[in-house]
Amino acid sequence: MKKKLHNRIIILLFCLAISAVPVLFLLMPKKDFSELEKRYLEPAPELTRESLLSGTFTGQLGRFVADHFPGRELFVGINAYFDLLAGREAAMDYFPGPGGRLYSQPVEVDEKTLNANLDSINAFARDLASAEADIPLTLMLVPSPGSVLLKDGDYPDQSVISYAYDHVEARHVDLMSTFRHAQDPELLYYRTDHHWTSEGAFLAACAYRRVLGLPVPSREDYTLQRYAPFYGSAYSASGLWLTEPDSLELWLSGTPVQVRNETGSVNGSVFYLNRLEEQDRYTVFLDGNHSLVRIENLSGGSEEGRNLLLIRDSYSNSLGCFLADLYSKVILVDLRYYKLPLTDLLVEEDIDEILIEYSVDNFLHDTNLAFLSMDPEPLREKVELERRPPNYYAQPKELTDSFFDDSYYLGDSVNGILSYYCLNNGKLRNTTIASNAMLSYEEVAHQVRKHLIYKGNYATLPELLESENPKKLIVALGCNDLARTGVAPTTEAVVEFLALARETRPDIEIFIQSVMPIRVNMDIFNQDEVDGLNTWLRENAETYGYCYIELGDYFKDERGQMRAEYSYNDTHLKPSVSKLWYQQLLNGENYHNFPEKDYVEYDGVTNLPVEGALTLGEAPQPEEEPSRPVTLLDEVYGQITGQISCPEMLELTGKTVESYLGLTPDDYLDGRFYLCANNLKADEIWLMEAEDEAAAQALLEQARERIRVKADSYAAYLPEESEIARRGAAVAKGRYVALFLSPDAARMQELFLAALEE
Amino acid sequence: MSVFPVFNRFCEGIMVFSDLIFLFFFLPAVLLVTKLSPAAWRNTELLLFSLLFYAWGEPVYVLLMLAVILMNYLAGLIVPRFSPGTRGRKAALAAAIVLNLAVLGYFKYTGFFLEGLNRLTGSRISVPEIVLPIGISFYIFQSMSYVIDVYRGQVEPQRNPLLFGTYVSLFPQLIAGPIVRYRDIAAELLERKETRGAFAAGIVRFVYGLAKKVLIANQMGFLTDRMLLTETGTLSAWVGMAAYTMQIYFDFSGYSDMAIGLGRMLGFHFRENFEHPYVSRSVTEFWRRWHMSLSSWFREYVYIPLGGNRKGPARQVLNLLIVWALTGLWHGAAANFILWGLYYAALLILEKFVFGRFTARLPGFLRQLLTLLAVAFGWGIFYHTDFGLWQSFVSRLFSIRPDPAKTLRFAAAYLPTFLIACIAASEAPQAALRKLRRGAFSWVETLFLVLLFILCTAALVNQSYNPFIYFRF
Repeated sequence: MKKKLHNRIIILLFCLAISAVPVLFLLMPKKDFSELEKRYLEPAPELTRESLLSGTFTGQLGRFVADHFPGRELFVGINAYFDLLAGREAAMDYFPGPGGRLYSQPVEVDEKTLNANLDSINAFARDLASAEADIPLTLMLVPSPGSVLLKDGDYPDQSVISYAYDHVEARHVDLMSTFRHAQDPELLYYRTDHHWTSEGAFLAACAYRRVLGLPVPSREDYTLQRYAPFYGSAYSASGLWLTEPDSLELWLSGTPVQVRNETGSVNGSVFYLNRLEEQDRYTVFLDGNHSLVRIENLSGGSEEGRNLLLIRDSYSNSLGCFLADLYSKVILVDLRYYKLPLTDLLVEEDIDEILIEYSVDNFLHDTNLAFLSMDPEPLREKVELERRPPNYYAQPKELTDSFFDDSYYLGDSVNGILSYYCLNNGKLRNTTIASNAMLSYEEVAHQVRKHLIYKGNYATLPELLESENPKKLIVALGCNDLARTGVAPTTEAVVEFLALARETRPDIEIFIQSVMPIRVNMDIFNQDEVDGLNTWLRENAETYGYCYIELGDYFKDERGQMRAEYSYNDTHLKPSVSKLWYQQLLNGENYHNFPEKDYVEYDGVTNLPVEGALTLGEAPQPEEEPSRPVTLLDEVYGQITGQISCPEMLELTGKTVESYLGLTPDDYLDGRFYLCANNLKADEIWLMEAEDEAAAQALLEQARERIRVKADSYAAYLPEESEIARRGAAVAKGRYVALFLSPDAARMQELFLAALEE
Repeated sequence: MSVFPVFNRFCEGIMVFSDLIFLFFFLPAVLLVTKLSPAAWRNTELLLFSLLFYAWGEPVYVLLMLAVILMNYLAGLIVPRFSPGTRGRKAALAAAIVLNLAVLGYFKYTGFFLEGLNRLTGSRISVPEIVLPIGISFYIFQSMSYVIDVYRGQVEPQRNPLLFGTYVSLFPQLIAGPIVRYRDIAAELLERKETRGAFAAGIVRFVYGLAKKVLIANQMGFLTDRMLLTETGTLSAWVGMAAYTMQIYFDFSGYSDMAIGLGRMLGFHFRENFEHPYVSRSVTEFWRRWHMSLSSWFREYVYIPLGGNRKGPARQVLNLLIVWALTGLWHGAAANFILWGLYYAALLILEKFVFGRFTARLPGFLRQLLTLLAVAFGWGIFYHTDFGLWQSFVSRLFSIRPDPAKTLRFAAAYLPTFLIACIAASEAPQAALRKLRRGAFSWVETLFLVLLFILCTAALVNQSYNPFIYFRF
C-alpha cells in the first residue's frame, strides 16, 4: 500500500513539475530587457524555412526558453547559494566576505597589457612635455576593495600599482595607503557594487589635490543625501540575492554647474536624478558611461580657475563630481568610446592639468589606452601664442584686392593691359585703374594738362586727388620720362611729383611701381636707364616716404631684359602677361618700405594673420552681377558687330565708365560702352539712350569731346589711330546718341540710324 | 583538447536530456501524448517524437537516419530469404555491413583518413568539411547488431517498418546509448507493461542521472578545463586528470541513467551500461563494468567472430589489438583515440599474460588504486586530441612544476564536490539505499530527489545550454 502511494506521489510531483513550467512559461508576460543582467533577452524566434533547416531556429528557441524561464531569478539565486554551500567560493566571480560584502576574485595580471598601457601613457607624457605647456600629468590607480580590505587573499593590486608608478613618467597618487589608513576603510567601497562610494571618491579627490599641492576640499562644504536601497553590479552578477543592499550617497555642494555630454544633453547638476529609478543607480553620477563629458563650474571653481582633463574609467563618474567643485572646467574622456587624439581638447579647452584615473582591474585589461595620443604642435603653438607680446604686427606676405579698394592706379601705356585684365576678370573692382598713354612724371609734376585724362577731361594731379580722394595712389610711370630725358631728370620729376601729391593730400599713401624691363634697347632709352631709375626708386623709398613695388624680375630673361615672348614690340606687353603682373602686384614680398599703417596683426608663430584682420589667399569671388535686361542698344550693337568686323572689344561698366569716360549714370537712361581690348587701337563705340532730347544733346557734346581727346592722346603715340579717332562719328537721333571711333565709323553710323528707324 | 569545446561548435540547438526544452516541453509532451493515447498508437507516436527529437537542431540528417533505417529494415527482410549457410545469405549480410560502415566511415572518418593519407604520402588532397550527424555511431551499431542477429537466426526479422524505425530511433538511447540490441527489446516493442511502479522507478533513475550529469559532471568539467587547458604546473595536471576521470564517468553514466530511466517510464527495460566501474580492481574488470553495451557489442560481433581466445594466445593478442584499436577508433576520428584503445589492449594483454598473477595477490584497495591510476592516465590520452598538448601534459605530470596559489585555491574549491563524486562513484550509496528504502526513509529519499531536481533546474537555468561529451559518437 505504502509503496503504491509512494509511487503515485513520485509520479505526481514529477509530472507536476515538468508541466507547471511550460504552462507558466506560456502564460507569463515576456520582458525584453533584463535590468539585472543589463542585456536584451532572447526574443521569440521567427520560424522560417532557412532557420529551421539550418538548425538556428531550435537554438534560438532554446535560448528563448532559458531567458524567459519562469522564476529565472529565483533559480539563479538557488544555484548561487548552492555553489557557496558546495564550497566553490574560490571559483565564483563574486563571493561573500566579511561584513556581508561581495568581493571579486583577485585580478589576473596581464603583463602585456600593463606594459602596453604604461608605454601609451609615457608616449603621451613625452608629447605633452615637448609642447612645453607646463601641464602636470598624474596617474591614479584605484585598488580593488579586496586588496584594501582583506588581509590575506592574494590580491596583486599593490605590486601592480608599485610597478606602474615606478615605470610611468608622470606624477602618481598613492591611494592604497590613503585608503588603508582611512578612518573606516569599509566605507570606501560599496558592498554590492565594484565601484567606490562617494566617501572613497572624496578621499581620492583630496589625495589628488595634495599631490599637486593644491587646496583640498572640506567635508563641511557638503550636505549628504542618501538613497536606499542600492543593489549594485556585483549583486546582479553574483546571484546572491540575500545580500544586504547599500545606500547611495549624493554629496551636494550647491555649486552651480552645467554638464554636457556627447549626446548634446545639458544638465544643471552632476547628479542625474532620473537614473535613480533604474536598477543600476550608480549611473546617477554623470549619467553613467559617456565618451565625453564637460562640466562647467559656473561659479568659476576655486581661486585658481583651472581646467582639468580627466581620462578615466567608470570610477571617475563619482570622482568627477568632486573635482567639478574645484575647477572651472572638468572634461572627462572615456577612451573606450572617445578615439580621437586629445589635441583639440587640450588646445580648445585650455587645459591646465591632466589626470589619468583607472581601477587596477581595468588598467590590466583595458587596451583602449592605446588611443591616448596627442599632437604636440598645435599645443606648442597655442602656448607660444599666449606668450607672445600683444599686437604683433607685420607686413603682410600676400595682399588681396581689398587692399587696393578706394585707390587710384595711375599708369602709362604699358599699364593698359593690367587695366583690361582686371576689367575682364573682375579683379580690383573697387580700384580705379587709369592708363593714360604718354603720361610722364614730369608732365604730372608740372601740372601739364595734356595726357592726364580724368573723367574725360584733361586734369591735373591735385584736381584728380581732390575729386577722386583715393586712400592710396599707385603710380606706374617712368617710360615716357626716360624716353624723353634720362635717369637723373626723371628722379627729380619723381620728387616733384611726390611733393605735389602731398600738397593736396598729405596723408595719402603712395606706391611707386618699378618701370618694366624693355625687350630691345632703343636709342631713346635702354635697359640700363630702366635699371638705373628703378635702383634710385628703390633706394629712396624711405627718404621720400613712398612704398616701392619691384616687379621687373619676373619678366626678365637671362639678358636682364623683357622676355621676347612677353612683349609685342619693344616696350609694350602682351595681355597674356597681365595675369602674372596682377599676381605679383598682390605679392607682398615685392613691396619695399611697406606703410606701417597697413601692417596686419599676426599670431606671431605661423605668420598667419589673426581672424578679423586681413585675410589671405585668393581674392574674393566677384559677386554675381544682376542680369541686365536686353535693350534696344544691345540689339543695335549686335547688328553692328555682326556686320562689321571689329577688333576684340571690351565693355565698360559701372564705375569705370564714370572714371574713364566721365559719364555718370545720371547722364543717361541706358548706355553701352565698348572699347578695344588692347591699347593699340583707338576703337570705341558708345550707344546711349537719354531721358529727353536735351539730355541727348549734352551726351552728343560729350561724344564729340571724346573724339578730340582720344585723337589727341594718340597723336604722338600711334598717329594712324589718332587719325581714325579724329574721323570718328558722333551722332544723335531723337533721344539716342552714339559714338563710333573706328575705320568703319561711317558705316556704323548708317547701321545705327537704320536700326533706330525700325 | 577536450571534446567538450569541439562539440560546442556543432551542438548549438540540439536537444539533450539535460536541457530545459527537453525537460519542460518535450518530455511532458511525450508523456502526456503516449500515456493518454491507446496502446496501439504509442509506438508510432514514439517514432514521431523520436524523429522530432533527432531533428531538433539538425533537421537534414533525419533523412539520413531514415535512409539507414530503411536500408537495414530491407536487409533484415532480404537476409532470411537465403537459407542459412548459403553464399547468398553471407553476401546479403556483407552488403548490409559494408553499406552501414560506408555511411559511418564517410561521415565520421573521411577527414581523418584523408588527413592521415596526406601526412603519410605527402599528397595534397583537400579535406572536405563533413558534419558528423549526431548519434550516428550509436544507431549504425544498433542497426548492424540487428542485421547480424537476423543473419544468425537469433531474432525474427521485424516486418513492420514503423516498429523497426521505433527501435532504431527510440529517443532515450538514440543520441548517446546505451547500444540497445534489438533482441533485448523486441518483445517490448510489441507489448510492454507500463505500470506505475515502473514509471516511478524510471523517474527516480532519471533524476539521479540528471543530477549526476548536471551537479557533478558539469562541475568537474569546469575544474578539468581550468586545470588542463590554462595551467602549467604539476599538481594542476594531476588534479585535472582526476577531475576528468570523474567528469567523463558522471557525464556518460548520468546520461545512460537518464536513458534507462526514460525507457522505464515508457515501459522499456534497457540493460545497464555502467556497473560502478571505478571500484574495479583490474583493467579487465574495468572493461566489464564500463560502457558495457559497447564492449559487449565488440565482443559479440568482432572479437568472437575473429576467434576470440579460441585460436591460441598469439591470435588472441592479435584479436585484442584489432578489437581495441577499433573500439578506440569508434570513440573518435583522431589518432589519440586509437592510441587510447591500444593502450588498453596492451594493459589487458599484459594483465592477462604477464602481471595479472602478481597483482592479484595485492590488497584490494591497492589494486583498485593502481587500476584507477591506469584508467585515469588513459583518460589523459583520451582528452588530448593534439599530440603536442598531450606531450606537455605528460611532462607536467612527471616533473615538479609549481602552480600559483590562486590555482590551488580554485582546485580546492572543488574538493567537496570531488569527494561527493568519489562517494557517488562507489557502491556505497546504492548499498545504503537498498537497505534504507523501506519505511519512512523512502520519503526522505523523495524529498532528496525533489531537492536534486530543483538544484538541477537551477544549474541549467544558470547556464543556458549544456552539451555533454558522448553524443557525437
